[in-house]
Amino acid sequence: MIAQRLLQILDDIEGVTGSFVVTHGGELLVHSMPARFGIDGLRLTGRRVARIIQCGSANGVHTEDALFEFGDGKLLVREFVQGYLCVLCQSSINMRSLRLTTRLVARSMPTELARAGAQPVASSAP
Amino acid sequence: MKPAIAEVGARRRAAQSSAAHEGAPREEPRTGVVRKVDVQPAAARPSTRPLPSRVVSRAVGERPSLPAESSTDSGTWRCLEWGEKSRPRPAKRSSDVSVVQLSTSGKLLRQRGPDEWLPEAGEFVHRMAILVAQGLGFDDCTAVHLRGAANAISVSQAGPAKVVGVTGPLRQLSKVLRRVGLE
Repeated sequence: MIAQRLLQILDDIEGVTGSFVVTHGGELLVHSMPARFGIDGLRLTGRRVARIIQCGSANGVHTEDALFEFGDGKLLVREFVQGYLCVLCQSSINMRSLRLTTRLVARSMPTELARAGAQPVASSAP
Repeated sequence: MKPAIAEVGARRRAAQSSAAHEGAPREEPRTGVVRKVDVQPAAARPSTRPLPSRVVSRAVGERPSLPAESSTDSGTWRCLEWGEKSRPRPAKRSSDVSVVQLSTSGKLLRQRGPDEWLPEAGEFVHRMAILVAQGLGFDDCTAVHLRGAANAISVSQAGPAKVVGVTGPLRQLSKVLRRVGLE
């Protein structure tokens, strides 16, 4: 899937752990995360990220970029037409470089998702 | 008794009797910068050391509108800046930035600014961000920044028991956003 290859572009940046894409409603569409992150956990996280951004929108802050700081790590979220591109990285990452690449990937993402007819990733549990 | 103290006492008694006779207000005004005008006429004042002309001209130049003291003003209270127009104070700029301080349990400690929704939203964002952090394998979320086209929200931990939420226009939060690399 080309959308997944697009996400792997982000992995080339030093300090990036992985990335995933969720819809505006919080449904996980595609991801390129290490195996230790389970699908269920990612789906839940994606939904929570979307809720936080919706909270901002409900109060007049229509979020384009969001940053979560976790001490040792960061989660950069970039809004695009079909949802949010989330990039998990180390705290020491070069933010300028990361934001630039994230913006480029987010710009190309809608076409690829539409071409692939992306559906929400199914839960690992039956 | 020293002669200087005796002279001051006599002057004060003379001032009181003068005010009583002339019916001048004796009660001290409650507001404003005031001084009590000396009861002695200018001629009767003890001679003082003359000031250099430069100092006198500057002092006169500073308060051109201050009326000269006359004997009729004796014993009355009046404003020191009498006749001088009050300087217009710079208008206080109303800030568009709202700031709240919350305890980690969500109790509102302090709030300032126009956005009344901020305590509730700040608490929600903080709680949800901790869950996001734990879902990604971290212990805690120290800060969340949401940057929109015109304004932004920032919710961050300030110490072990306090959470601070800030929202406002991008221009006024640019310093915070630049520090975290969102600008």
